[in-house]
Amino acid sequence: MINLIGSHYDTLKDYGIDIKVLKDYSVLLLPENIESKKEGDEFQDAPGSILLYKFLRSEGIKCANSKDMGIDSCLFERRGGDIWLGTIWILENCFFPLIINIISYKILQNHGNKTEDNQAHLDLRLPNGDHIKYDGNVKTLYSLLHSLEKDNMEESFHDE
Amino acid sequence: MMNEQEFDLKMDVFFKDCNFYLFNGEFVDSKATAEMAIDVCKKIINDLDCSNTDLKNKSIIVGILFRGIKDLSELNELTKSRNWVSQPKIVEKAWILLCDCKERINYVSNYIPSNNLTSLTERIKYYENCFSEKYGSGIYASPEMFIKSIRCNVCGEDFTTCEHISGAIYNGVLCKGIVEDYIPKGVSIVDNPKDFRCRLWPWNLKKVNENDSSYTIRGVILTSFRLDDFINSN
Repeated sequence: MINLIGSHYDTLKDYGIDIKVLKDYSVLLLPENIESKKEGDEFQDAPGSILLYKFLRSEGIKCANSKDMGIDSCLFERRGGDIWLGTIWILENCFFPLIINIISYKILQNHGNKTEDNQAHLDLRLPNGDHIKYDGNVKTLYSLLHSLEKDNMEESFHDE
Repeated sequence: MMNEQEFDLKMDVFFKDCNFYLFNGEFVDSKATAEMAIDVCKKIINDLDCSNTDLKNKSIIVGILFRGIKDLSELNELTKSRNWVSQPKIVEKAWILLCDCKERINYVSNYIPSNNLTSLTERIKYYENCFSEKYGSGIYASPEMFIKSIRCNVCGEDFTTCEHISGAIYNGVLCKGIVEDYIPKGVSIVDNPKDFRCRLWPWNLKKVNENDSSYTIRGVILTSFRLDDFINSN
């Protein structure tokens, strides 16, 4: 069941995304500059979103990337040690814990250069309309994702 | 063609010999032994008549291990003189060998128990300390580029949408994305790069002219390193 609140619907429509196809997906992995792109610039996919896309699909989560959504984009490869995950738009609440676990344990923990200084960058859109833009260290991102997962479980419990 | 059990026994002997030679400072012999092991792995991987996929997959992992041992042997040989750490040309070459060796041993540590790799990882740590004591943690070049097209070497399809994961082995092929079309965007100087081979060394920094505060620096910005480069080599 897609839980799109009004503002999400409008925003995605503004990006030129065909709203009708959204019913086929639970998560969208969109370019990192989908909001900030200037005229003449290219849409830029984040390198980390390729691996995330493959892991999500291997777990049976219906996931779409820019190409699936018909967005003409290119991959912005920085060859830095940081992790760039782009814009992650979670459309269905029930997949929230699984998605958080995949990001935490398969992407962040298995990143090539494991140092304390590793930074992560992502723009996370949640089913309840919350929007988190994160640029900071990986350790803090773990804590943030797990507190979000906990809040989400509590919200789901109260809704029932 | 040998079976998996024969392969394991043969590689075990090569591995013990390499460790013995490395421990005793006989680096030419450790390199030669590693090359013999690589050759066996390469023959299995490239054998079109071999239908044993497990053996082919194992040969890639073991081949990468011995390729890492070969790097380490060359590194030891290169740094035999007492003052190697003060000689720029040797330092630059040794750094690349250390990065290659570390990446290969890190990769095989996903498949081989870490206690079997202890002597190698300790040797790598020793060299890391040598570099860090003399030159600190370093600064690195990090190129930025827009990749327009990237193809999967396993299925030949678009790597951004296919199911294959970089670094995993599928039917005797180590998966990677092959960049086919890109636009360079710039080069940043960073302290935490994706590729540590792109280190910038102080002796390559030159003042443009006496009356100017500008400097130029010469260095590597992109490398073509492959974990399994031995497969197609002569």
